[in-house]
Amino acid sequence: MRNMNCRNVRYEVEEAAVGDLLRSDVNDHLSSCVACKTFFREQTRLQELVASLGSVEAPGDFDFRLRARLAGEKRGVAQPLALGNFSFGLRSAAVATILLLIGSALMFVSFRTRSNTPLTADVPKTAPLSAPDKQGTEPSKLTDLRETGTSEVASGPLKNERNPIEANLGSSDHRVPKRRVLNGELATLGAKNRQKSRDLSGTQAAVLKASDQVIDTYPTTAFPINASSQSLKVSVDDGRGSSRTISLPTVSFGSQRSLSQSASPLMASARGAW
Amino acid sequence: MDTLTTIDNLGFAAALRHEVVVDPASDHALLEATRTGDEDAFSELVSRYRNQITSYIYRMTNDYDGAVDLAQETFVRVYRAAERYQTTYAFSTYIYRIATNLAISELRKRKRRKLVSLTGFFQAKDGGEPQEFNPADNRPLPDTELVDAERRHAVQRAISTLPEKYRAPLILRDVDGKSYEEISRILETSEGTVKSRISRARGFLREKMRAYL
Repeated sequence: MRNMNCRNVRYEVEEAAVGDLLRSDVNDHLSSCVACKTFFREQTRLQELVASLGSVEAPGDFDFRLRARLAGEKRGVAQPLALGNFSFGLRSAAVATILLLIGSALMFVSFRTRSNTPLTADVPKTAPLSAPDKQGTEPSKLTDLRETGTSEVASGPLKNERNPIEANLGSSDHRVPKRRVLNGELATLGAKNRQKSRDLSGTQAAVLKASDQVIDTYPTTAFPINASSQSLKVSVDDGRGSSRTISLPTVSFGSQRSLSQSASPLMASARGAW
Repeated sequence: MDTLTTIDNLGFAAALRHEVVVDPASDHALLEATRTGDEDAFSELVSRYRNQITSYIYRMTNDYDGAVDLAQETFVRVYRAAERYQTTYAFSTYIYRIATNLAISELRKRKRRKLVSLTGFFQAKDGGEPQEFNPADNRPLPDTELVDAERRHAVQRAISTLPEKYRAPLILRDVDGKSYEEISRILETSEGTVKSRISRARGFLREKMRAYL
């Protein structure tokens, strides 16, 4: 049997709900212990007070509001699925439209830029043949130069000679649309003060960047190519209808020994290119 | 007839009548029917528990409108989760657990928001118990009714100052009359913890309500 000390009695009183009958030994203790009796009385009173709060009722429109809410939930569940399928297509269409618009805008801006800027900005360094081809370069010379296989070295100086178009246009502050140039008006411009040269190499112009140094150091007539094993011919058009052909010693690009470091500043660019 | 009288005397008839009239279908059966799309079954469930849940949440939050909203949210969650409901425990345990979680979430949200209420304006500067804004009511009231109303108000206020972990078991036990076992299931704690928390809660209340004891 449990020892009915004050602690155990209070534990029993705590556990009991209002109206529960207490065990006889607990009652015996309560009748003899004033402190526990006071505790029991306060405990009972407190539980009665808390229980007196009772329950509140839900409002009369509780069911109606709940039904409305559930209907909203159902719609909410159904709509995302329907809208999800629909909006996905819409979203895709919107994205496609936006991309199309952006693409069109970019193309338009690019087209406008190309049309309004000087030819210098138009002539792509990687496509040096496009302009000369339209400028009446003699195919035979072109072929000759292409056949030299000295594209990179030749393209360095020749870039400078392709860019005389740029130089000419820039110096005379002409802003000629590319279309006009391509339509043959470049011939008129060139007739004024054109010292034309053409990049007749069929290679990329990666080396051309590095050869700016060469351009600055040497005039356009200088071709720092030596120790070559193949011949190189460069045709230079003076813009007055006459052209000059320059024959250069053959050069081999397969080895750096073909370019003397002391003799040619192309060494630096060659290092970068190879 | 004699037999019936005997049963009546034993009190079984009332229990049977009660079971037949009040609970024509068990909660589980109603929820099962709800699962199959029977809206009436769900309505029956709502009508059984709407007052209990609203009252319980109101005692927890001391905000009637909020309690109604949370009670509705409780039923919405029951409806939504009807497919996943498992009949491991009584439905009342299940729905009280949802309501408790919602109420406690609401109490925590309020703490985070630190809502400025009228109560806050009348809080004692020494951090003591807030004094409710209680404008004078000039209507004549009988003394006993006035005293009872004041006492209930004090009890509710005292309960609302309890920490939430003590508040829920105390309300479930002393207001809703749940057993320790059910409370422990609702709160997902052990019975010992429930008893301990209820004891602590009563200790707090006893100190706050000493004037009324």
